[in-house]
Amino acid sequence: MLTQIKDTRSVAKALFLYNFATLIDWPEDYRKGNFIIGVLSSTPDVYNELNTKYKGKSIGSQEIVVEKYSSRTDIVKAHILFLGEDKSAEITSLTTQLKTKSTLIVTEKEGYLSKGAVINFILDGSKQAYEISKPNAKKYNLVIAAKLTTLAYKVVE
Amino acid sequence: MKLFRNILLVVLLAFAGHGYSQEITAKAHAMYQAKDYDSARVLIDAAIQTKEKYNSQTWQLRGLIYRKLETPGNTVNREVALESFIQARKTDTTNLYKDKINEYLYNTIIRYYNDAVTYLNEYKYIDSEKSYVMFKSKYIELIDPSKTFSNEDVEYFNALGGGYTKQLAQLSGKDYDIVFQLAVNALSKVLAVDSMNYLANLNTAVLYYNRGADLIVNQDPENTSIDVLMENIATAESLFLKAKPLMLKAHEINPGNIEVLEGLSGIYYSLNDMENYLIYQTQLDKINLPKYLEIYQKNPADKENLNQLVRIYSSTLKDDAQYLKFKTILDQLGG
Repeated sequence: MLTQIKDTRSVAKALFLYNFATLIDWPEDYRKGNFIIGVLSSTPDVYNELNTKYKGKSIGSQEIVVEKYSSRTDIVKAHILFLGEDKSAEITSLTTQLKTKSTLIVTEKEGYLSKGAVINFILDGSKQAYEISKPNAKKYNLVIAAKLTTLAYKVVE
Repeated sequence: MKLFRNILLVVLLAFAGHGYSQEITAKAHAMYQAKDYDSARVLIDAAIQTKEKYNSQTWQLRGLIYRKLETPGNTVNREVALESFIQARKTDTTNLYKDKINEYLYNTIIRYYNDAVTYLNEYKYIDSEKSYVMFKSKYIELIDPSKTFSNEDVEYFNALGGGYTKQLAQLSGKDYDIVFQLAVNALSKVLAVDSMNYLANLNTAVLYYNRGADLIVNQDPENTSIDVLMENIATAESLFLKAKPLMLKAHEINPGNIEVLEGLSGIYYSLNDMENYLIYQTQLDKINLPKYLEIYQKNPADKENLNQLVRIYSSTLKDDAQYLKFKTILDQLGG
């Protein structure tokens, strides 16, 4: 077997999510207990990658827990919510559901910053990149490190 | 008196035509036949210090003796043998032994090629390439200046590139980088001769693809900051872009090959080109679906296999009923 297809995209996305976790400040009440990264997606790849490599690691003093949701109603409290492209239609309901929370909503569909995502995965040519909405971050009381905005493909101020 | 001189000439010619006519050479020949090659060497080296050096057969015998004295890994005696055959050719002024000397030279020079193959099998790739280069240069110098080595180059450098590629599995860091480049260099020599060579196109594409994919997949989560991640993504992209045209060429040459379809699917997936990814992944899934269904029959709880079936029926070979069936089973097994 000369070639083995490797899921580079999920690996990169999971590592981005982990880095987001280290470069964003959550409000005080989110700095206790476990650090929850939730995935709402029909495809298992990003969840599997997070669960395999990141579960049990720490963000500050908080242990990472990875949760997979089959429906948005399963979401109770999450620091990060990754919304897979196939579940993108849920964004409107989610933003309503999470409006009083401090959940970093990360999407992977073009134009989704305008629909309420804080960070959206996009392509820079054929490379994985991301864009940030500062106003949306503010809505959820999230403070984004300068490094994250500097490296973003686009920042909505 | 004139008659006597003519008789003497006839006798001398007859003597010259029968084996080694000269005294020391004849003794050396006897030792050679007795397989006492060290004694034969002493005698033949003495012979070339005398007028016997004007006899082509003396030099031919010297070449044969030195060739017998070769030891593995040491080609000094082979070099002496070659020099001797060259002298044999020079002293063969009437071309009486031309074919025989050419055969001696060929059989000696081919040993460099055999060494190259032996070293290849022993994973001594640097030594192997040195021997192969020596084989070619000696062949051109001593046997046929017009010889091209297209077929030999294709065969040899494909094998060398394959050898280096296998070695990569055990390497990391700078060692990996060095051997990776050696593998690419070897295969590019094939492509320089034959740009439509299937193996070289496929293997070079696989090298680039694997390197790019490994760069992403093998990142250490805790030691990869976001700027490093983005640099790695950019580097990987450039490697995938190098792999793409080579894999497409391999596909042009051998469209139905499963490795090529896997390669193209992987490259386009990593380049986030979903349109092309789906084209090749669909072809691949058509080939693999019976295998996945067979695995399901044997082991209905194989989650990885169920994931493949769910993916296939929901993306490349869409079938809602089948998708729901396998998704339900997968969900019941806890995803």
